[in-house]
Amino acid sequence: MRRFFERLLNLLRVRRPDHDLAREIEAHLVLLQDAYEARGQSPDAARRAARLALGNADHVKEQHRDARSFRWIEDAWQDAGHGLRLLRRSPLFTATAALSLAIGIGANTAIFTIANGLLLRPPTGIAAPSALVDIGAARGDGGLNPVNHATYLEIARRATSLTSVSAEELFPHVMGLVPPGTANAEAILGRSVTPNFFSVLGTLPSHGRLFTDGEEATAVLNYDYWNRRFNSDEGMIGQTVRINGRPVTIVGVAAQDFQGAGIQKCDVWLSIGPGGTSAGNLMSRGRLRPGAPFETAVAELNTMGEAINRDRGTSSAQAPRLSALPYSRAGGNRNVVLLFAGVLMVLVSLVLAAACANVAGIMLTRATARAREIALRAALGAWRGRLVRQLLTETLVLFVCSGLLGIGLARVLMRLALLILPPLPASLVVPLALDWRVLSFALSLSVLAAVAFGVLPAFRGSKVDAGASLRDGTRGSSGRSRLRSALVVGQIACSVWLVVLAALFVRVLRHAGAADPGFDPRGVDVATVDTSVVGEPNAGPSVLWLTMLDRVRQTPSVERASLARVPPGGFEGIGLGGVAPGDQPSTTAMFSPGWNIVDTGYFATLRIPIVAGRDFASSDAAGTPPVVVISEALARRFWPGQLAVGKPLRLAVFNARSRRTETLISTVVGVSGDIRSSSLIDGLAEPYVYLPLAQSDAIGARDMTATMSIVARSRSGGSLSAAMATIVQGIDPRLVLENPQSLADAIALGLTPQRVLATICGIMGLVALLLASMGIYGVTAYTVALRRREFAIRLALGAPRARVVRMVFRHGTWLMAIGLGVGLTLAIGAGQVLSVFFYGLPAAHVPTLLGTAVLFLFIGVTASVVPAAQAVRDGWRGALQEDC
Amino acid sequence: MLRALATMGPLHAYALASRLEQVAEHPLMLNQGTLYPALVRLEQRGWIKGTWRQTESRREAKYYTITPAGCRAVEDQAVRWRRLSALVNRLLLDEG
Repeated sequence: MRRFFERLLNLLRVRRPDHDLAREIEAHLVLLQDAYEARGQSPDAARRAARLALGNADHVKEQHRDARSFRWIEDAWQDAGHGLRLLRRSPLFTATAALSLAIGIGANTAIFTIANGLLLRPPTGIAAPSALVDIGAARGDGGLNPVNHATYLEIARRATSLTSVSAEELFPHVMGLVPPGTANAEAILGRSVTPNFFSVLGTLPSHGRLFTDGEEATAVLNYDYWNRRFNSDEGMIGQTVRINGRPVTIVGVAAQDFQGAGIQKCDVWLSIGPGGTSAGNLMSRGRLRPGAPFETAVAELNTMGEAINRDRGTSSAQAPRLSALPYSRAGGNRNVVLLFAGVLMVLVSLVLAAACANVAGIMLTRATARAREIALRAALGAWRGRLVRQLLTETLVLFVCSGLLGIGLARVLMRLALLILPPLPASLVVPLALDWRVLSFALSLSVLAAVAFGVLPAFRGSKVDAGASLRDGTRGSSGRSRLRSALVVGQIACSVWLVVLAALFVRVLRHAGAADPGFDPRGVDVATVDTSVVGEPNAGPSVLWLTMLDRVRQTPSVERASLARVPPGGFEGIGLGGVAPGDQPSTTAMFSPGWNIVDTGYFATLRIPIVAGRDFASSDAAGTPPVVVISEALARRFWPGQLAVGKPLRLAVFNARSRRTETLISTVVGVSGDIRSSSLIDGLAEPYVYLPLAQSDAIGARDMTATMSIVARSRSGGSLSAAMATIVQGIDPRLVLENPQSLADAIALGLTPQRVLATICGIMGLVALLLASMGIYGVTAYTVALRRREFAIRLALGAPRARVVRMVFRHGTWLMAIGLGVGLTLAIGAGQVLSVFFYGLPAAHVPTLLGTAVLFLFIGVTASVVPAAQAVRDGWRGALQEDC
Repeated sequence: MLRALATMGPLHAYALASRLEQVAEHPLMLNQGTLYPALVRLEQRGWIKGTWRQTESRREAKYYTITPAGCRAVEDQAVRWRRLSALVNRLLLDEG
């Protein structure tokens, strides 16, 4: 062990041991010489004999070095130093190569940093996050949907593989907080959580206490919010404030580093009492019993879901299947984030591959130029492996330097990325820290790329015929030229691929912008109001909503206005239950449609056509026979070829108050046009069932209508948020307007993935295009240099200059054509795959493909012009004289 | 080498080489330079320690002294060798 450290230490002190050894050997020689002289030899003869007895001093020094330290590290160190000196000597090459590699590595690192923040990095303030699991209703894409409070209670009661189960609202909400001694509500971001929320996470309080079991009407403040709003006043603890109209006691402040379990910012956590919550969407989370594997919990939840449904009397066809995922900040969307990050990483890896191919090509050329140096080393006894190691180390130095640059670039890229994102509805807390995972990812990527793209050039570069190279000077082999050409073809293929994909995504965005969503979002403003603020829900909201809507409608700038539980363009939806045609046997399987609860005039406000029947009217009031409006897609599904108006519809809805699934028959009074509500991404017209707000009581969905969105169309197209805010505050100062925005903005948010992909592909495509043109220029120039003598002879023998130029062009164009062919094929293939995921993405768009082909051919020709001109400029004399 | 240093006290590399040549019955079998890698290994293990001093002929030389750890190592090696050779002897005798 001690020797190991001594050897490591000796890596750092190279000079002193060498000097010491030289002194010792000299002393040894003197002593030997003395001895020989004492035996009667002449000084000269004695000196010679002494040297003979000692042996080859250089050899001794070599062996000594081997024994005292790690030789290969010392060599690598020297090679790295040599590599750095070489890089310094050619700053232009270094700058281009390092920058192109840094862009590739940086883009990868940026994406990894975000994925790391969302999925890998354990959040602060949470104990043993690896034992936590997210629980919800299984979704088709492997994700989780929220569950309702009753289901949560069942999970908490039945789970045996989990020590405790908590739940929190899916999203934090804007709430109105009235601090003690004031009358006006301030907007805060609040989230309702079960009292054991903190204990499941293992979070500690920084002041006061956290929730205890069974309590309600209490709140815990976020440390930053407490510091910002209340100046860290400890007197706030124990005070009663009004949040959304209800008195709530602040019991404590969470630990300073605790920012919640998800990515959305939250100012205040509110305890959900034993009575439950009106919110139908809770994400559940549990802590695994020590020793219980994750799979056991998943299996238990699967069977538990079935048992719960059996007990509740719902048929399994429509029952939510419960499942779990390992806890991550991304919650139920873990797999979606993983997939999206994967796709992005593949895309930006293309540009890294193009950059690597470019650098490898230049390295090959340089190896040719350095053939003499390599030959000299080989002639002096360096074995092949040592030469390969040297060349590889030099490549490694370049890539690692670029990797370090890439880490810096990743920070810049992430800042730029924020600029291309539309404004998000809630502020996010994603830690984009530069931790050991990010660092090791960037460095491993650099090393991996260096090895993948450096090994072949290193082997090729080290293969020299010492005699020939020293005699002939710098002249490369045709094998190397082939390898370079292959690299250029690969590079072109990657660039073509990226450029085509970028063009396709831009088309998706345009398509989505131009596509008819089934409603007219122009000039429509949306804002959400939570009326649970205003006392008892039994008397309040309906009157309140009517007053509010009346005032909005009376505003001169408002053309039309209505209310909706789920305005189009959002990410949230409500799941009420299943439906089936009422004129068929009651055993017919239920179908889960999209649900919405709307007031009269909703369809007219959004300009959704009523294709048959009528809109809801004021006569569809509470107590009258229940009616629904369904979308065309649902009408087609249930009554193909028939008139749906007047038909009975069987609804099986979960009544939040009685906690049971109830069946009732409604009459279809109208059929509306289809809307692509929440997603223009998949373009699917989701079958919809609309319920009238006035009748929501009858189906037990009254609690859901405490929060509704005002949908208002402006006459002038101007923003209505200010007017709506005034009206809402005028009705009750405790009310606050949540997320007022134009409907167009809300829809744009849904197109974020496409926008991100288009931008990234576009930027990366441009970089790749630049790299490809550099690659073609490089390889053509290199070929010209190789065939300089041949061209000179041709010219001397009377070949016209045009023919020589054509020969040069032919090579460049040929490479371009092959690269283009490969790239286009790959792009068409990728297009096929992506068109499945993205609505409106054409698998093969001929004008895009043709345009790309023309662009690349043009670049190929342009990049070959300079080398071709060089081939004939000097004439044959110059070239031939140089060789003589 | 350790044994030589243990019995004869501090020696420089030349004296050590001469001593080894005496002990080994084949003089000048190896170049004296081959001693140095071995010396550096022993020094790194902490079994010997080198210091620059003057010889009797007033020449400069690096003298190597055996350390207590080196003495223990000699003992250990000797014990191990005795055990091994005893074992081999017994095996040979049994077969005989």
